[in-house]
Amino acid sequence: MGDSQYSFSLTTFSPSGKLVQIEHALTAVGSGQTSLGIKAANGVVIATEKKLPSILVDETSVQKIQILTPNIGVVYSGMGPDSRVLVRKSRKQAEQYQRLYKETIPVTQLVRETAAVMQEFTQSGGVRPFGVSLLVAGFDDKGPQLYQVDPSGSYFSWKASAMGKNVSNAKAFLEKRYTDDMELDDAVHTAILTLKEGVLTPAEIEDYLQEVE
Amino acid sequence: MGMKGNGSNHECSRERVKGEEEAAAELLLCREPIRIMSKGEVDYVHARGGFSFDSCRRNEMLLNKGLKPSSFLKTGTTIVGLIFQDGVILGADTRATEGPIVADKNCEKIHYMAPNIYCCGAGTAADTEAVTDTISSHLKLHRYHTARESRVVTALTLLKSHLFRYQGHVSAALVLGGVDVTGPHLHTIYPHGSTDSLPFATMGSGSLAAMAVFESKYHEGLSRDEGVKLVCEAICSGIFNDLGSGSNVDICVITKGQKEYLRNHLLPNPRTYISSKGYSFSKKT
Repeated sequence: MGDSQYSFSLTTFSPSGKLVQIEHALTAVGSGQTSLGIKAANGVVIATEKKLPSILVDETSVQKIQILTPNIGVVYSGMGPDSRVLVRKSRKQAEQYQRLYKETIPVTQLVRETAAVMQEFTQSGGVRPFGVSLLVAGFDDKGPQLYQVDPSGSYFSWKASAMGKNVSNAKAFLEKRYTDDMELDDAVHTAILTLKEGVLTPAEIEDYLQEVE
Repeated sequence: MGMKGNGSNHECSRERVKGEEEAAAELLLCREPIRIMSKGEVDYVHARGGFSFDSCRRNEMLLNKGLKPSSFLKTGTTIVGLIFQDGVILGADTRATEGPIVADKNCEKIHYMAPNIYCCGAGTAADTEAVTDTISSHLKLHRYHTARESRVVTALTLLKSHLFRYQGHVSAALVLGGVDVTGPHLHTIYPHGSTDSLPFATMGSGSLAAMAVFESKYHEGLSRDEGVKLVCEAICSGIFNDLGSGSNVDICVITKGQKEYLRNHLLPNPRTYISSKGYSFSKKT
């Protein structure tokens, strides 16, 4: 295909109708640390593995899960520095919304605005898309909500989702263990198990499950 | 009272609070940063033109032609603050005036800035509200980024920079107080952007009455109850002796890790004239 000829410029469509840069951005996300989120009946949990490049790194200085408002949090998969920019912009947007409407920003609104920012960077000159996918977890008057925002700017609401490495394994595991009426504690438990999936062998997981249950 | 710098500057700003605002004849076309209320921008961006002083010229021309300026809601006010042994106490009256009319008998003059910082405002009510809201937002974002409690000097610097940028046209005279990691702090901020750091402070049209009480009764190491009592006395002095202040007393006590917002702590002016039987007027009266 002539796709490779169109893979360098973001603002040019390839003949197959794709923006190849965005595909590459999704690849960058796919090679990032696993992160996942689960929506329970009375809350949402997001989790990620804090894998540091060496034991010498001060782990207290690394914060992968960030707070956007007192009731909305976010975790990412992909390039950390890109996520910092998005977190900063989202916080500011949430605050501006609050200032204007004297109402705490609903989760859907914040997700929409963040996605709009990500989309801007796919249609402007001289910039590249963000190399992160975000999992936004929040609790507002519509209850617990979990959204995934991709580098293209599209967003989806999930009951449970995973991003980054080992996505297929993690999602299969979540599909098996997810129930609609899960409590928050169960959700936390499931999240940890799903993360461990990628790290431990099946035998070790069996041992752990027996220990816990 | 801390009289740093030019004494006449202080006079100027007190006038602003008590009487009518003089038309500003300066024409400043400055390139100053304003915050853009739309998506995308993270930092301040220089807008073309900045604050436009064109209307000031037009207003002056209209005044010369004899047009009376529209009056705006001012808080001819008594606001005070003092530092006691565990922290800071702020106090304010609750009357908002529009010229000779009382527009709001029970307005809130003690504004929230941060969980550990509160600010009393005198001057044009809209200005004090807007400026404290804006800086409060700023401080909140700063707290998220730094994961630390806000400091009083941060609020102070943000407020004074804002007021200086508007060259005194934002008519807000503030008493800022709070307790942070470095201890209790109390500051006064004048509409042109100058600040003082004091153990006890008063602002507004009733400031002289309140200051008289402080000067005679304040001493270091006050306990909480003594401090609250002194602040009430000072505000009451303003309420009873100044026309621009009245109604009730609001108090805010801030200590390390805790704050108490005592809305309408004292009601020295209750309504006593409502007849429960109602009034009857015979026809043709």
